[in-house]
Amino acid sequence: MEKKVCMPRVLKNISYVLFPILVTILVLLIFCLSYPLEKDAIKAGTNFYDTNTFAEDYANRIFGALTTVGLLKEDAETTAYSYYYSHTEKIENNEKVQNIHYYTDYRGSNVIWLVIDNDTKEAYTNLGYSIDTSNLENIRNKIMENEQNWKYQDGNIETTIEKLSNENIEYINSGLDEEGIETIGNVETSDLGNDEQQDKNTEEIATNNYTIYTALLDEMEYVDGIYTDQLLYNTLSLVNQNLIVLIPLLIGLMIALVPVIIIGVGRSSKQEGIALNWFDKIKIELATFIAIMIGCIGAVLSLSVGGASTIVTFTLGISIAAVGFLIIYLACILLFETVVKRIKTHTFWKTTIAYWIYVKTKDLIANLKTTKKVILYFILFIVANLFCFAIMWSDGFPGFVLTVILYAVTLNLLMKRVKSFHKITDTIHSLYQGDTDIHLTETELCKEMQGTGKEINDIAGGLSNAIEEKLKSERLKTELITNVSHDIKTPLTSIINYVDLLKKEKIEGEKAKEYLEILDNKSQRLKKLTEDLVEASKASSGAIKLNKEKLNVKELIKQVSGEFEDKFKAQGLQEIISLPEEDAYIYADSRYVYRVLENMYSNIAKYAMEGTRVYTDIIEKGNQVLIQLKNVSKQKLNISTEELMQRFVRGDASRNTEGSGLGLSIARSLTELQEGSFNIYLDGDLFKVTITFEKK
Amino acid sequence: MYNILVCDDDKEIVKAIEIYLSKEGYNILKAYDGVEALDILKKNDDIQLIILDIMMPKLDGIETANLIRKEKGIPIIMLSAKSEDYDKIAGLNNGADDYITKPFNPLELIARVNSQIRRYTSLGAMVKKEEDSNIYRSGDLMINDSTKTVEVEGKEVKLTPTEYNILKFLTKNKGKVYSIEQIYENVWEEESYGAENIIAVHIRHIREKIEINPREPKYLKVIWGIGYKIENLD
Repeated sequence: MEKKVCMPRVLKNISYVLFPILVTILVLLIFCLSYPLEKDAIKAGTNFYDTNTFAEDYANRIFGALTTVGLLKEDAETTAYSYYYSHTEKIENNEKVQNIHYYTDYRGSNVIWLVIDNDTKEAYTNLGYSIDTSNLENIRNKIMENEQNWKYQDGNIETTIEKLSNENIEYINSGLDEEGIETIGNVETSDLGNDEQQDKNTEEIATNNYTIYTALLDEMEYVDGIYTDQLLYNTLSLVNQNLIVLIPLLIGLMIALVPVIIIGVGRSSKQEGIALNWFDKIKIELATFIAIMIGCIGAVLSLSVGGASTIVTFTLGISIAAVGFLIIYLACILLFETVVKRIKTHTFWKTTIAYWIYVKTKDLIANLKTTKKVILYFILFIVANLFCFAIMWSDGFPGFVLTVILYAVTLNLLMKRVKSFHKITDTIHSLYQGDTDIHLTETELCKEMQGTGKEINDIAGGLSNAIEEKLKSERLKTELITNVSHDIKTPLTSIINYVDLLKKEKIEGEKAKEYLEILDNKSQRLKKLTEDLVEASKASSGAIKLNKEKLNVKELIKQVSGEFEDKFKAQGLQEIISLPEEDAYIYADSRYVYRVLENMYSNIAKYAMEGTRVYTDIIEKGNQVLIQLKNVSKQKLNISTEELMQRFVRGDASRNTEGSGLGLSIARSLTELQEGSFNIYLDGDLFKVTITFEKK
Repeated sequence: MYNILVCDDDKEIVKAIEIYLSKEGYNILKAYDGVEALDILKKNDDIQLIILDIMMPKLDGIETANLIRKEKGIPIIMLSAKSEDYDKIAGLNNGADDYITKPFNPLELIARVNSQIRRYTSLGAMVKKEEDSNIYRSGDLMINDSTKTVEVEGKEVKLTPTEYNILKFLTKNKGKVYSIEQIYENVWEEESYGAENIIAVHIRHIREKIEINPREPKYLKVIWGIGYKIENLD
């Protein structure tokens, strides 16, 4: 299977390797550039040993050696005890030298020397025990076998170092005078004594009859001025030219690596998007701490390498320091990667301890009861307020500004909540008034009330659904009743017609005629019942199209009472009508208002006690018109008004008369459909109906 | 003898109608669905009236009426259990001349059949009579003020003098609506003193005399809460 390679990741890893290399080069470059070296010599490609720098360094070493000799002559043990170690041995040879003084600088030096004082017959050297020192010749050979050497005897110089040869003696001469010391004077000499002492050394060299052997070790062992100068000189020779140009190039390259790294962070060939590991999930503060700890290990490691003097320890030190820096660098990468990944996945803020504290605090507050919360907020307000007052007391104006800000913020918060509260109460009010088509925008409410807002929305939704369901089921019921009644009507037509035909046949026998009469009555009643049933269901479900117009109630009552006069007379009922002076108008569908009144009048004709009076009143009351019908019932009314209004219910004793029992129910539904109200009042045998419409 | 085609999927109803109408001296042709009715009409040119049920198999009454109307002007009476306003409107708009709901009153059916036959055979064909200035007319309602007689669809109706005066006033001003008060003042020619439902009683009596079905009047219409009028049918 072909292995998928995630390019951004590979590029990133390459960049990670490149980056420290670039930094190192850059640092070295800058360091080298700032170091005072002969740039002309470098340009000319001169060997280090032929440069002035080397000559100066070497000369310094010679002076250093002479200074040391001077010191040893006086009383080495007391003057500079801490810097070196020396001991003296008797020597047996033919060169009149009696004693040899061994001197060891703790820091070591790559220049070895032997100084013989021809006057005192004392010899001085910085060579240790590594060679057979019992023979002066050995020492001399050991020195002079090195390639770069310098010998001074009887005012003559014998050397391989061009700049310090006899031809250039004026240089060394100048070095031997006071001025020369100052010119050349550097760390090495000044370390060994103060100005006064240097003067003395110079004097000593000038006056004493010394023979001096010096050489630079072919294989340098110590990290001293010469070594570092050579290192730098060679390094600079390598890069030689256009160093300045290299710096911006390097910086540019480093800057270019940053986006490459950032793009590559978190990419993986295994999965899409940003891959997070366990480290990316721990709190960022903790991650930072871990990274710093790792970095510290690196820092300790790199700082631990100080004071190396030999090349071996120097190289080792550099290596350890490099490892230390690498660890620091890795720690930096670790922290950097996790930060970038967190930012990329937008989890940076969420993985901080600060956020965790914020969330916990919020939860804690959110779980408090509202009363406790209010108390908490109030206490917070008071504390803040006291704080502001304290500032105002001590430092007038800023305190005043703070107080104003505090009050403004508090007022704003309070107002937000009050507004939300009002929105909720308003919504509940309109819900109460029957408007189920409401919606609270939750985001407009304050946090504490959003839950309530949602609940109110749900209630409104549920309510409007329920109402819709109800209307739908009523409509279905009406449709069902209408359809069923159609199916009933067809056979009923045959029954009615054949009963009628039978009646016309000459049938013998009284009983047959009586039975036929019953059949006729009942079939007629069935017909009425089906018609009323359809009408009642239509009226109660509102499946009636209204054609409203302005009607005169006075005229209407006259017309209706005219229609029923004969029926009333037949029952011995006397109608007493009282009408207002002025015409009373209402806005309704005339056909259905008539149906209501017709039902009521026919009820009266059926159920009122014979020979009584029936009262019809039209009363104008405010902006309402009341039609009131009063009569005395034939039978005892032993049921409640509510029951009377139910469909199919009639006064028990009235059950055997004609009619469907739907009359009152239809009348009420039709009245309410036209925004009127229909009320029945029973008091003993008094039956009172009040129909109310709005006046127009 | 007039031929009447009765079409209903309920055979008993067709039979009953046949019994009633035979007694009136009509010859009955029977069909039990729309297709059958159309067949009979194709074969027989001498049919003066069709009674048509709406809900029938194969071809319903509405479509049948539509098809008949494309070729013939024979009067059609719809007979249906559908009693909603929009059913009646649909029937009348699709070629029906009259609409009777089931269960029907046999007497009403006979009256309506007679009315349609009369109009189709004699009145419809009749050239307009010379108009006497004393004759008031709306559709088949005619009032002759010279002879003080009222005729509805050619039949004389007997009215009391008050009823006659009210009807004459409304027919003279047919199409216009008059309140009780206005009718009183115009007929009695004196001021009304309110509470006069006497007019309403008279109106009802007139309706019972001139209308086939007083509950659904054709000529004398009641506009509840406003007044009364004679429908302008010309």
